[in-house]
Amino acid sequence: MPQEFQQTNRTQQEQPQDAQETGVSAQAAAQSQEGFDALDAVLDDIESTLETNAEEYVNSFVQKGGE
Amino acid sequence: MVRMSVKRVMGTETEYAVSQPGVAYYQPVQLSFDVVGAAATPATRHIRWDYRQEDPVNDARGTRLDRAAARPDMLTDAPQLNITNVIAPNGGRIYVDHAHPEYSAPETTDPFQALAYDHAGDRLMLAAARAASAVAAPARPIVLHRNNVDGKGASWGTHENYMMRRDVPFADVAALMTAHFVSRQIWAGSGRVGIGEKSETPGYQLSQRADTIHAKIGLQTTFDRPIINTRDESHSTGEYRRLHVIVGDANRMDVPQVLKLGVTSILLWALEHARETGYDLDALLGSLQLADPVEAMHTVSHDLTLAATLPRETGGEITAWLMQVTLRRFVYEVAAATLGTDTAGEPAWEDRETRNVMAMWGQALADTAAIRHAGDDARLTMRAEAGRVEWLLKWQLLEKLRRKIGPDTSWDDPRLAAVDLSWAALDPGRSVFAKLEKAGSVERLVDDAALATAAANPPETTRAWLRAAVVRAFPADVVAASWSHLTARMPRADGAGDALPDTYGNASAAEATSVRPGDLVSLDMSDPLAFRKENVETAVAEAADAAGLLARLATEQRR
Repeated sequence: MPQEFQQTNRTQQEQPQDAQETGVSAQAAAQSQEGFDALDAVLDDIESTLETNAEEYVNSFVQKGGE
Repeated sequence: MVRMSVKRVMGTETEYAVSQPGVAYYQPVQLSFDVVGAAATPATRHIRWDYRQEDPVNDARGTRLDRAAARPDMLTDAPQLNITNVIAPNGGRIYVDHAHPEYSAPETTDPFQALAYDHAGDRLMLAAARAASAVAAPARPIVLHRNNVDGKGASWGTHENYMMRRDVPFADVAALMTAHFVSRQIWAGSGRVGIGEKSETPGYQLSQRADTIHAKIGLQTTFDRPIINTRDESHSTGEYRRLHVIVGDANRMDVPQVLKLGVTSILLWALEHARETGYDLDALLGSLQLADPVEAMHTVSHDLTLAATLPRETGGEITAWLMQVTLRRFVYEVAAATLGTDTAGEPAWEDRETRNVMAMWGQALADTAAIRHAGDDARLTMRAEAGRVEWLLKWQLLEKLRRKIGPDTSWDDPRLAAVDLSWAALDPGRSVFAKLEKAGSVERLVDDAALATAAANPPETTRAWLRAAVVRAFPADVVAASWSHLTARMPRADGAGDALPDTYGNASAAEATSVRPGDLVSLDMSDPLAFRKENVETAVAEAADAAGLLARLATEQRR
């Protein structure tokens, strides 16, 4: 276990420098703050459809194998 | 490309599920033909796919499968005569593969470009499905989903392709990639409701595809699917092979898709250069060799704790997370030996794409470590991580729904399966994923404008540019196209007959029955980089017809 935590710290330490390049962390934080309640909003949005259509939607989705 | 980089020739193939809600016993094969047919234009409809370069029975391990011993669905170079193939405006290929419409992205040279061209395919296919529906079934539209399983036993593929050096022993490729493909599921999985190929056991798992994998290595893709696919069909020159990857999920999110492409590419680079830097590759591969990789594939996918230990062949055990850490350290060590390091100890990466992929890989390991140490309630609040880890965001939505219906709700409730399916719907009006993306819950790496550009225009860095340019400028002249060849008809005087046999382009290399009438000119563009825009745009601009252009390029290539 100690080895794993050490590795986690290393990957996190690498972030500040790299994050400037990717904008990953800052961008994600800004997006998700407003985006998270989207989960509840989406569930509210689809609730009535799910009540009536879920079973048929799932059961009628039948594929043949691919590639 | 000799630099230490995620850049190499790569591309994706996506098979879409096709269905027609409200129609009992819809025919997936016919619907696939409808969709692909609608992707064609009157000007390009006649262009055939040239199968002569396909060689599906050639095995990367150095043997050939007897064609008579191959299952008919492995003989992809012997297509039905009515198969529809379309060269997309971006140089990609849209066609019918078994019972699915498929989009093969054009050849690209870095993971971010490959991502853009991969997801541009969703737009092209959605447009084709809508066009097909408008003609054939306006009241019952044809619907496409980007996923890999129907929960009733059927599975279809999402493939990655990487051009790599042939002089690397394939046994090393198989060993390294097995370790990677088993363990990358923790950040790459798109999430799936149901355990088992027919969802026999209620539950949720990381990966769409894991339960359909039953062999360690093999040539086949439609039955007894292997972790390592050995189809050896390079579509390139002799010093390269194409690593054909069939274990991946049909991701909808940008981050896991770029990571799959970028991390696999940099691992292949490190493998190509490990031995020349003195790295002890055998020790690495030995430490990552699992006792049962197929079982491990399933174990990792089924383990939402991310803590499951996998027995190693040499004794002891290891987690998927630690395997990824080990693989990342391998890349850093080969890179440091090759490039040297900066004052912070970071290898002196030579391009922005590589720096970004390496940073994102580190972020993915930090994200999965945080997820591992969080309970369900804490996981429901992990906003940033869920914007990058697709299986987590899907799980959050499903778990919230499950608790809302009632805490005792089983994972086999059809409402959960319906949300999983809706995640994959291409039509934004039907897709819960599209709603979350629109709401900003998903971290994006390409914007809508870039996707529109990638749907309509070819990449400039590969031969896809020439393929698209010739089809765009001289559609009537083009007889057949493939990844590595273009064939055009010589201009004819008015009134001359068309002597082209109907079978042209359907003859296979393996059977050596290709026909090449005297009025056709064929260009071999096996080198994927030689016919990129900067090398051929002058010739294209100056060309009066396709045959003259291909003849000029063939002559220039020989010089």
